[in-house]
Amino acid sequence: MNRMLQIAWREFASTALTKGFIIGGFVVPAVILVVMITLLPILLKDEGPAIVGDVAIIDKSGVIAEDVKQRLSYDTLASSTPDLSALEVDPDNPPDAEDAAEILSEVIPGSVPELTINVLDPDTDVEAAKEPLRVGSADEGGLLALAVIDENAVTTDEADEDGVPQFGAYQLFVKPKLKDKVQSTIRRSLTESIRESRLEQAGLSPAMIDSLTSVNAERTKLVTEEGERDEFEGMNMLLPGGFMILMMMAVMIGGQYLLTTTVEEKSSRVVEVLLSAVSPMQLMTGKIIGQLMVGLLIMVVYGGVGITGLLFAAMADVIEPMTLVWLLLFFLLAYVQIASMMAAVGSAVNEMREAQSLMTPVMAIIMIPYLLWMPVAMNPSGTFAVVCSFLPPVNSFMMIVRITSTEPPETWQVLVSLAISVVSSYVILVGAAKVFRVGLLMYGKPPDLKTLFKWIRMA
Amino acid sequence: MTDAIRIADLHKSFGEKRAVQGMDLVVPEGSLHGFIGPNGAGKTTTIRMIMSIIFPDTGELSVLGKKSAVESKDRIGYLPEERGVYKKMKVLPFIKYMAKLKGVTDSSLDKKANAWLERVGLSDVAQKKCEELSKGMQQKVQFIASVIHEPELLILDEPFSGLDPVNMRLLRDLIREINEKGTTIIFSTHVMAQAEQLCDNIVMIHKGEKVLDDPLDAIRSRFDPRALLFEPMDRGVGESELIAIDGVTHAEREGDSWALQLEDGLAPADAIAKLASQIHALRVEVKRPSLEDIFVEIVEDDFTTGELAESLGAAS
Repeated sequence: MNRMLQIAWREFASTALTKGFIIGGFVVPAVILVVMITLLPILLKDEGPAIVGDVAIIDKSGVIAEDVKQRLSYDTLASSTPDLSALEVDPDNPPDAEDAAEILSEVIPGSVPELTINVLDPDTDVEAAKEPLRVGSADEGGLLALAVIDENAVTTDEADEDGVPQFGAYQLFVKPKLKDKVQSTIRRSLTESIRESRLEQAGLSPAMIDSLTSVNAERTKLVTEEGERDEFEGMNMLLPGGFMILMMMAVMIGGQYLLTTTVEEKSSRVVEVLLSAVSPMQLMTGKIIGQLMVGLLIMVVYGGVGITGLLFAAMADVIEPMTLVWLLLFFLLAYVQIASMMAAVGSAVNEMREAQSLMTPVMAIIMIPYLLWMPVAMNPSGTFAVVCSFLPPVNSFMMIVRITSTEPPETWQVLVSLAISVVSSYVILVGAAKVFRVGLLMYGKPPDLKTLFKWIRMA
Repeated sequence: MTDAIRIADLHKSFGEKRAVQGMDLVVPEGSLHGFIGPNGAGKTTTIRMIMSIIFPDTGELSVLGKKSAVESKDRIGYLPEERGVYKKMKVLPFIKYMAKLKGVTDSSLDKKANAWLERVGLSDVAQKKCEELSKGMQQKVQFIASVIHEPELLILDEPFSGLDPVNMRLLRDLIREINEKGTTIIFSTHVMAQAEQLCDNIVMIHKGEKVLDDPLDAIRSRFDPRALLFEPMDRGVGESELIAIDGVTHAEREGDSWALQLEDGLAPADAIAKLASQIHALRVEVKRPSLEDIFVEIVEDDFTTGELAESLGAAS
């Protein structure tokens, strides 16, 4: 036991207590995160030079050109652009995903375009008016866009059988590569201008209509033992995915390192020196324990960051303590399975390059849960999900998805899945140990899968 | 005296290839045994089976009184033929790590490791990474790792390969020293001269079978070629003149000298007297068989086991 721990500790120390691991695993992601949070908005805000140019309007309706001109004037646009520094997120009422997207689009306003509006004669030939769009570049001034407002955009004589009036609208022609932002600003101005003109024409107050048609309901509240809080709807899908990816990441990184160190020990010929002191099984177990600690470290750090994030968002109660226990158990078992296979592959080959073909089935086991996550998370109690959560070697991953979903499985199902994982871990471990023992001292042509199975039967 | 290693009728095959067949071997405690044999003879396979790194198909094996080396790994030191170090590990931590794996826990480990490093002249690289060391230096580090726990049985598989003459001598002295302290030592080599210089006992392995297992002296007398090495003063002496001498059956040039095969029943002493009286000699000596000669003889003749046993029986 002492020896296994010696091996485990060396394995852990030589992997995790290295500059490369700490920098690559924690420092770089942390720096990226800090940069994203602090610098990105500032960088995005500074969007480069403002768009300067002309917008031509052919207003056949004859009533909205001036209004549009007013709406697109620099002063109006500038005053309607929110000031970033004034933006504050209420910590007690954090934005949900949709709100966040909206806020983000406002936070990234870009520079206010300086548009000169030329109202053309309503009888101007549209084709001729388009010509300036084709020459010169949008950035260097010149005509940016041409708006043609239909004659019946505001007042119409046409009506359908039920007497509902049928209005015209507008057409917008723009030059190539005009910024989406500018296009949508022009479109919004035109649309609002036409709408308000129509309302006034009908004798209605735009403010009244706004008030009548908008329903500003409060956010969905989740009622829990601790009280009420806003329901984060995306969470129902994100949480299972998050847990599964966390687990897969930890399993994958630990397993990958195990493969690398095993191949290294074999190719540097240190392995037989080790075998003079410990048995192959002790060596493999020690290495698996060592990389397990690496995987756990990653899971604790990243999971910890995630949970801290949820705590700040006052949403930590979406995770039940029992879920974490299940996560740990299923992680352990999934890790033992993947790590054993990695150790077997590592012991069978002479260098990393040769490991590729043998890695394919192992990689498949890790990729399959990715593909199954969505269908299982969407219908976590369906037959498909239940079967997946009992099917080794992916059952550990799928069960975690189900446990963290909106419809957690019954406890007996979790226990059955756990038992299946225990049995399959044991089978894989024993098989891998056989391959490991034979493979470690086997140099020369790398074996194929068939040979590996022969070794398992042979040993 | 008890036996450090006892092997009876050991067999091991890898697929079609029979690596070891019917090996019997007894290594008494405190002896210094040399395993010799050509590449691929089965030396390493035998050693690996002794170390329980691979397991025999059939046959019995006991190491230090235990059924398997697994139970007595802490009492065995092993320097494998396929050996290496952790490239990124520093020298002293590597030695300490290996010692801990062998169950050394006492606090004097640092002192012991440093003393060994000094003994082999590596104390200045103790804090360097193993990858910065030359191959010969790495080999000395590995040797330390195999003896740091003061084993009762030391198995060295090709310990001299890759060493320069100075380090070869150093290692030879160390092996003798350790043996004199009572450690049983087995080492394998395909360089016969090394075995000749070092061993009390020689075990020769060829094609997976033991073809020789005797003290060095016994082997020498058994394989007495019954020949003289004769260097005449006059370089012009030819084969015909030598064969003309009574009792010489065959003469063959070896550089400046001649190897003279003697008639059965003729004592070498008489032959020397006879020879010296007829042709002026610069040098005359009884030709002693080198292990190499014996080895080549055995390998080239490609005896079957039966024939070999017969010839050995007849010789002794």
